[in-house]
Amino acid sequence: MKKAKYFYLLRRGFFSGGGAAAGLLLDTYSGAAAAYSLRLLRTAYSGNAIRVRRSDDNEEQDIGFRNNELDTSTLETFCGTSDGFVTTWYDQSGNGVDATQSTASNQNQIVASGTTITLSGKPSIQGGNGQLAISSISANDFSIIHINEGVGFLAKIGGYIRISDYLRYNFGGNSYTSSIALAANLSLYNGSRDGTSLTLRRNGSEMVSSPFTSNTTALSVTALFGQEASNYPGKVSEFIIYDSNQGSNMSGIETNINDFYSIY
Amino acid sequence: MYYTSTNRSELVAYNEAVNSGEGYNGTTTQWATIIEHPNGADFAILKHPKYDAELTELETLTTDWFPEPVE
Repeated sequence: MKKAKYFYLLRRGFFSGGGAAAGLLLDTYSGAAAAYSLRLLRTAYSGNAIRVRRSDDNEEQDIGFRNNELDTSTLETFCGTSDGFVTTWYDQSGNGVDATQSTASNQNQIVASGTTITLSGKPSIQGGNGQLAISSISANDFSIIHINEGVGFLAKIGGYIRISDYLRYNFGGNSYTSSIALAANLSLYNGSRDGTSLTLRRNGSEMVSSPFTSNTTALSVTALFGQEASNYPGKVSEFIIYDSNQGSNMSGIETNINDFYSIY
Repeated sequence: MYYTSTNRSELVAYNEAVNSGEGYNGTTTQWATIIEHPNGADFAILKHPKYDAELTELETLTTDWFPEPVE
């Protein structure tokens, strides 16, 4: 094997045993409209995980992956004893829908006094300061999967469609779908629409499956970590948006995530 | 801690002073955004811990500063 290729594969974690045993999520379940994570999700993705601003001098640096996980060694070396804040959460889907925050006081933290913030032993972003804006992602059918800990407004999904203290969706007016409460502890959530049917899942189990026929307005996602003045106070490690219903893939997607994060 | 004023330009100037002092570069372009009270007459900005100004201080912004999120 040529040396350059060996080091490329080593950097991507092929020989390390790191990352999810089941393989990279988007290698198996491709087609995400946007995918944000602190682990590598796709072999062909050659970009970074996040861009971080350190608090002591406001310098910024891209942080990539090591053994398919966030390169916390480089991250902590860069931050030294200061705090680190996420300016960009890069989209790994290949669609370039990066999530960004250019205002310092609204950037969410990933390093506290030189130590990476974690959730279930894995790096995680601590919300509470502000939101990450993304170019609007629109879809009729969808699957949105996210791993988070804490209760609050998690994402701005359309004018009336959002995830807040509960997970539910509305496509206009004052008629809501059935809902499930967000849990204070680490959980894996999955909301999917297929035609006129909506399914909400938590930790691998279906919680709600309900038809809705009153409105078929398309989904529109524009921000993570809150909406308007309401910032999500908890931690988020992964947020994946498919602009199609993943139907039969659901179990496999959830298993891949749970194998990595050990959620349930 | 927040600074408040009925003169928005005072808060713009404070923000620019922080921006200049901190030397943001790259993706980060400013310290904070100016918050407008729904009454349209009052404004606020988050105070940077390293920068003081001769402005009215407010420990926290009460809920009347923020309209209810759309459900």
